[in-house]
Amino acid sequence: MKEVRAWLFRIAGVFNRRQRELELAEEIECHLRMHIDDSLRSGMTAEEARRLALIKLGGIAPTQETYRDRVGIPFLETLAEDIRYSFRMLRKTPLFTTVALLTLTLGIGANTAIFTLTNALFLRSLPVPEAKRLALITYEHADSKRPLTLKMFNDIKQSEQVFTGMLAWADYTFQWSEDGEIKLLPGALASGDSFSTLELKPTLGRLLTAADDHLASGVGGWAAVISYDFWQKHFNFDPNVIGRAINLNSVPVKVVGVMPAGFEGVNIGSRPSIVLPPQFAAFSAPKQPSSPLKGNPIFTVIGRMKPGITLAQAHSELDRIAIAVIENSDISPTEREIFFPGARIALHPGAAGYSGARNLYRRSLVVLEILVTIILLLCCTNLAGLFSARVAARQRDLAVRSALGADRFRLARELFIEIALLIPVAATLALLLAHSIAAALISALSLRQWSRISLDTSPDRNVLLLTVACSFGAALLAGVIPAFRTARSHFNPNVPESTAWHSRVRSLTRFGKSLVSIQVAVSFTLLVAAGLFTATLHRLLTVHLGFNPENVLVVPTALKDLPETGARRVALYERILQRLNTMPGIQIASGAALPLLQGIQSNIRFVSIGSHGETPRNINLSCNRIGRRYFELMGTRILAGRNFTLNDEHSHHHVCILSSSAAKHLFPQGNAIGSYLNEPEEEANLLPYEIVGIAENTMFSDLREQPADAVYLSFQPGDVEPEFNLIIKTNDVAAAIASSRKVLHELVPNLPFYEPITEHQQLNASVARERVVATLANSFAALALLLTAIGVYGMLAFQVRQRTTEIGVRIALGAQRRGVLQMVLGQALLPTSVGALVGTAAALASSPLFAALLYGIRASDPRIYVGTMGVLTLVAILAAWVPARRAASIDPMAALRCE
Amino acid sequence: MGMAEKTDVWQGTLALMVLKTLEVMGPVHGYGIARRIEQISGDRLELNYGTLYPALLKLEQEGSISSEWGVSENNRRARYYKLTRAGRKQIKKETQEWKQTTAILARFLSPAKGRL
Repeated sequence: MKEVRAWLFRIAGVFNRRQRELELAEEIECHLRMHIDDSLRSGMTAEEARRLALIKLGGIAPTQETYRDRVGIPFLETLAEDIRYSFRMLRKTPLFTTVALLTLTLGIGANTAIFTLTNALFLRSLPVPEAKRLALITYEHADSKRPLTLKMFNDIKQSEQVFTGMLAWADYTFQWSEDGEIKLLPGALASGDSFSTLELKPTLGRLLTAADDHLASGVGGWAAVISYDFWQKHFNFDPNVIGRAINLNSVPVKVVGVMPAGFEGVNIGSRPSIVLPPQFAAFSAPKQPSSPLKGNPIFTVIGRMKPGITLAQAHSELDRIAIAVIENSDISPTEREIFFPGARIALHPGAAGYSGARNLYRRSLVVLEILVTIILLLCCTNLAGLFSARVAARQRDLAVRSALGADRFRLARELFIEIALLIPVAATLALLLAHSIAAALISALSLRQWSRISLDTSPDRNVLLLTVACSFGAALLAGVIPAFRTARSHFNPNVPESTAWHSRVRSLTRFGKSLVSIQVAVSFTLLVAAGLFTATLHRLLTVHLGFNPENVLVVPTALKDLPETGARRVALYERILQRLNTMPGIQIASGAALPLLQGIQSNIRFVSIGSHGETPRNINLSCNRIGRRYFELMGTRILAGRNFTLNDEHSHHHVCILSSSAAKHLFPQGNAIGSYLNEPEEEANLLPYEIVGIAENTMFSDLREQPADAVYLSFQPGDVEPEFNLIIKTNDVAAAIASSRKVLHELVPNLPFYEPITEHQQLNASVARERVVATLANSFAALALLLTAIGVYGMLAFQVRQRTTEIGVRIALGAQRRGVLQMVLGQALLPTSVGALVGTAAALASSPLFAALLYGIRASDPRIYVGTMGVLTLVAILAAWVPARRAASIDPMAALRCE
Repeated sequence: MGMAEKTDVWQGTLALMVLKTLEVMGPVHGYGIARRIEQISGDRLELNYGTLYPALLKLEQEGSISSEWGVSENNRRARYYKLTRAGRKQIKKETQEWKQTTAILARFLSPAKGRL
C-alpha cells in the first residue's frame, strides 16, 4: 500500500518536477541560513559559519541528485529522451527510414494478407453463442471433406444421442420474380431446427422452426427468413417486411423474420439473402429430375454437443452409427464407388462452419503461409544488416557518448527504440495493405460463378494478434543482433584505428557475410517455389484441350424446368437454336448438357456390345449430351464415322459418338463404329445406342485430369430431361450475350437469365488458384531478389569504405585494378555460393510440400534449380559491381592522405 | 566531540529517527530535525544533513509525514514536517521490530548468558 502510494506520487512527480526542485532549493537555502544563524550565535565568524554549514550539508549537488531520483521516474524520463533522440535520428536519415519502413511493411503485410485469407476461410468462428460446442459432420474421402445428403442427416439425427440439436444447411439459388423480372437470389435451404441449434435470436420477427419444415403444418404458405444485409439493402430496414410475400421459384413465400446482423449462414464464403426449409426446393421444382433433396450430398451438417460431451465422445458415438448411415444412404453403391471411393463419415470441430473452398485451397494456403514466413525472415535479416551498418556509421558518435558515460545498455536500447518507433507505423500500413491484398486475392479466385466466394477480410482479433506477433518477432529478430553487438563492443574514441577497431570491422564484415548467406539461401527457396508454380501454370495453360476455347460462349439456361418434355422439348431447343443462328454476333449456336472445364462430370455405366460378338465389357463413361454442330463449333475433330444429324434428334433409334480413348478401350480391334453400347441390365432400361462416330479426346471437367473416356449422346427424346446450356461460337461476345438474352426472353419469357461465361474465361477461372499462387510466389521472389541485392550491396559498400586505406596501399604497391575488382566480387560470390548450397538443401527438403500443387513438373526438376542458381549469381554480381568498381577506382594518394 | 568514534547512519534507521523526532517535537523544519537527531545521539552520529531531504521526501511520498510551508521562530519561510496517523502507526510497528532485532542480536553478542 505504502509503495503504491509512493509510486503514485512519483508518477505525479514526472509532471511537477520543476516545482518540486525549486522548493527543494528554497528548503536547502533556508536550512543553510538557520545553520549559519546558529553558528553566528555561538560566536563564529560569518566566513567560518558558512563553511561549516556547507560541509555539514555534504554538498548540494548530490542531495539534489538523490532527491531528483526520488521525484518522478528517471528510467521513464530518460526513455522519453531516447525516444525523442531516436525520432530525430530517423528523421535525419529519410532514405534509411523509408527502406526500413517499406521492408517491415511488406514483410508484415504479406503475412497479414495471407493470414487474413486463412483466418477467413478456416478459423473465424461463427457468430453464435458457445460455438466451441458445435461439431461438423462430413462425408470425406482422401483429403476432401464434403457435405451429406438430407437423408444421411435425418438418419444420423434419429439415432445419435450426443447432440442437443442438429442442423442441415445447403446453399441454394432461388429464382426471384420481382416487378415482372426474374432474378437469381443467393439463398440457403436450412432444416427448421437450424436456428435453435445455433441458438440464434432474430433481429426482427421469428426464425425458422421445425414446424416450418413442411407446408402442411405451416400456416399461409412457406415461411422464409431474410439476412440482415438483404433487409438493409433491399428493404431499407423496413420493419413491415414481416409478413410480406416474396415470389420464389414461382411460389409465394412469406417473410417471417430477419436473421441477426453478422450471421451469414454456416457455409463460409456464401452469403445467403434468404433461407427456406429444404422441402421448399422439392415443392417448388417438382419436375427437377435431380431434386437437391435426393441423393445429393450438399447439406452441411452441424450438431451442438450436449454440455460435457467432448469431441472424442461425439466422434465415437458417430462411429457407432456411421456404417449404417452410409449403407442406407440415398447415394447408390455405383455412385459411391465412382465419386466417393472409400468415403467415411467423420466429425470435426464445427465452430468455424464449413466451406467447400477449404478442400481447394488448404494446401495452397499452407504453402503460401510458409512462403510469407520466409519473406518476413528475409525482411528481418535485411533490417538487421541495415541497422548494423547504421551502428557502424555512428561508431564515432557512439564512442564519444560511451566515453562521456552513457552506459552501453542505453546505447543498445536506442537501437531498439528506433525499431520500436518504426513498428507501429509499419504494422498499421501492413494492415491496410493486407486488407486490400486479401480482397484482391479473393476476387482473383472468384472468377467462376459457382466458385465465387465472399469472405470477410476485415481484421478481427486473430488477424490483429498475428500482426502484433509478426511485428514483435520482426523487432526482435531485426533489432536483437545489432543491439547485442552494440552492447558488447568496446568503444574507444581516441584510437578509432586501433586493433580493437579493426577486429570490430572484421567481425562486422563476417556478420555481413553470414547475413548475405542467409538472404541468398532464403531467396533461393522462394525462387525455386516461384519457378515451380510458374511452370505449373504454364503447363496447365498449354495442355492439349482437344477443343478451341477461343470465341466460345456458354449461356446456362433453366430450360429443363419447363413443362415441355420429349419431342416437344427437342422441338423447343431446335426453335431456340434456329432463331439464335440468325442473330447478330452469333456464328454458330449449339447446345450441351455439360459445359467443359466447369469441374462437373456425369458418369454413366455402360456395357459394350461388339459387332463381332465379343464378350461385353463394363465401363464408366463420362457422358455429355450435345447439339448437332457442337463438334464443329468447338473445333473438336471427328476421327472416324459421322457427326449427329437432324435425323438422329427426331428418330427413336439411339446413336452415340465415342471419344477415341473410349473406343480404344472398349473395342481394341477397332470395330467401334457399328457396335453398340447398352446401359447395364440392372438399370432395366435397355436402350442400345449405336456407335456412329469417334471424336478426338477432349479435356472434360478439369484441366489436371487425363482426358476421360467419354460418350456423347444427342438431345433426342428419351427418359431423362438433361440440362441445356447454349454453346455459341461468336466473334463478338457482347453482341452474342445480348442476342441470346433477347431470344430466350422472346421464346421462354419465364426463365431467369444466368450469367454467361466464355470458355476462355472458364479456362482462366480453372487455373485461378495456380495463377494466384504463381503470382504471389513470383512477387515474393522478386522482393527476395531485391532484398538480397540490397544486402550484398550494403555489405560490400561497407567493406570497401572500411578498407579504403588498405586497398589504396595495395594499389600503390602495384595491385592491378582488375585484381581489386575480382577481389571484391569474390567477397560477394563466396557467401552467395554458401547460401545457394543451403538454399538447394532447403528447397529440396520442402519439395514434398510443393508437390501437391504442381502439374506437369517435378518438385526437384534440375532446370529450375540451375536457373535459380544463375539468376541469384547474376543478381549478386550486379549488386557487387558498383562497390567493386568503386574499390578498383580508389586513388591511392587520396586514400593514404586520409590516414 | 573529538574523541568518540562517529558512526554512519545505517540505512533505514534514519527514517525511524525522523519519525520519532517528529513524534516528540511536533511540526518542525528539516534543519530542526537534523539538529535534534544529532543532539539525541549525543553527537555520536555523523549525519550528512543533505541525506535528510531525500529521506523526508520518501516518507512524505509514503504518507507517513506531511509537510507545509510556515514561518520559523526567526521569521524565515521554512517547510514544516509533521507526523500523520499512518506515521504514528509506522513508529509503533518499527519500534517493535527494532526491539526484537536488538534483543536477538544481544543474545548473539553475549553468548555466555544465552542458551547458545
